[in-house]
Amino acid sequence: MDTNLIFTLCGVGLCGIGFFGFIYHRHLLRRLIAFNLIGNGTFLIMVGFAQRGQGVTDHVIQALVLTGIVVAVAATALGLVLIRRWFQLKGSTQLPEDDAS
Amino acid sequence: MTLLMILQSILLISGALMFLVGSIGLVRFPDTYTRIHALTKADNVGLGLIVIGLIPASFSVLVTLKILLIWLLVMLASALSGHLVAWEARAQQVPLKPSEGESSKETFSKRELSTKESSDEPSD
Amino acid sequence: MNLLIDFTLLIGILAIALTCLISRSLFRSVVFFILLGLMLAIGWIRLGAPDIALAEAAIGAGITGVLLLDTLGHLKKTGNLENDEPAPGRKRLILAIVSSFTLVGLLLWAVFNQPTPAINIHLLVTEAMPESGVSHPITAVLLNFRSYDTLLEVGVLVLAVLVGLALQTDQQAQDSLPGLPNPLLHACLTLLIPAMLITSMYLLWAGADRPGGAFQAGAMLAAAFILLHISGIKLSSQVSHRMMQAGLLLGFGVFLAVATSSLIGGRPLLTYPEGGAGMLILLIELALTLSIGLILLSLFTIANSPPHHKDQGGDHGH
Repeated sequence: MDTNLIFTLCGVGLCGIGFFGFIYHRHLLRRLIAFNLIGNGTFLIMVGFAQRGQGVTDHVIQALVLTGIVVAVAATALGLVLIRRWFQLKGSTQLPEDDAS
Repeated sequence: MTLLMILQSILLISGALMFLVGSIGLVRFPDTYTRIHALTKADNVGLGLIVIGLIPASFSVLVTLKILLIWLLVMLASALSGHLVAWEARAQQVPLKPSEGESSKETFSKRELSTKESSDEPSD
Repeated sequence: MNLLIDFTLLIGILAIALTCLISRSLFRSVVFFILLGLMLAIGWIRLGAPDIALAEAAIGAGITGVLLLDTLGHLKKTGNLENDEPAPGRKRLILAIVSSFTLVGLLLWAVFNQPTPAINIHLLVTEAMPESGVSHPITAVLLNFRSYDTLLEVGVLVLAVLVGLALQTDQQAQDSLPGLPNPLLHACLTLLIPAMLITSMYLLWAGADRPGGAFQAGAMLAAAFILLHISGIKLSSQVSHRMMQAGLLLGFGVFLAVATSSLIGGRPLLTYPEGGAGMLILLIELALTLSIGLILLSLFTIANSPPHHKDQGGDHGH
């Protein structure tokens, strides 16, 4: 058991929890949060996995995750803009195909 | 285990305890205003103790100055944010909750109005 | 002892993530999400990645948190915070549980059947470090060895802002948020904003040989801009519209110019001339910092521009 393995497992857990929330919830804001949880879990898996294989700190994967975090915030902001626009046009915070179920 | 290390541990542990006390206050206190009190008081002292405890670990003037600067900035930010939360709570007329056995003299004047405005936002 | 800290973090992160998703109140969910970002920052430190920890604390917890809280406030103001939405049906719950357990199972299988890496990439990085022009490996990877990724990533950021701007309608004036008329806040701003700007530049400068760099510096700059914006001092009313647009594109433009200029000298795309790498990287990073700051600010201001008036907005659901 080393730190890298523990945080890889943490990432696996985050992905699972996020995926659960993404399917279970209908509110778009909650879905966006769940989407971010999956993203964070993926980052943890990437770094933990790579560093466990190499046995040392891996700067390449860390740099990739760094760009990933910045892209994730851009995606989240864009998602929020879309949610607001949707709410403004339709007055709903859910997608129409989810209204029935 | 030198004397310095023991001193350091005492400082760090008491700092962590202050944070714990502050967190308990945050969860247990009844309304927004007392919660701010618990948070800002305990956090500033707790962080201060931890900062003082960490200074002997480096023996470098530059690092010491940086840590002290962080402490100063956090105190400024926590004072400011505490003030802003209280200010906003006052604007939204979040009521003060009197504790049992105490007369409710310290309530805001427009308390009747507060029921519809007192959302959970600042107090949650 | 260290393992104990790791396990505490593991349990804490998972518990916070679960609370964040199953909490009934949306506000509580957002607060727990911010808390999760801060816990993850500590986790990144444990993984030996201080650069990511800085970015996670500033961007993942800070800016994402502000964006989410702002949207929540907006939804609340327009009276559609569905705190008591009906719980999704049983079928959905079963589907969600089954699929998330399948995903976890597959990932666990992958983790415990990890192949040995074909190349030791960290050795390649260490070997090439002297030629990179900087002495911090992550900056070297970001702006020299794998600058392709970074260039495209800045392109994605610009694209996100463009899409956001395209979704904005004409009626949405940028400067409608009233701002907080709090005297103490404005007094503290005169102290905080210069401190934030200096910290941002320090992070940029430190990126050459220590954790830091354009992304963290840009996030810090964006935080300063957003703080100003929330306090009621609008950057967009201080400089012209065109200046803002130029600022958004500056980082990508400079990066692209440097990347293609190497073609003129007959070298391949995205390589630096010998000896000049350090200067060029610093130039790109400066432009990137300003652009990332402005891009994150724009994403924030686009998100919090006000809704239409009810009578102009077309078909409202209710």
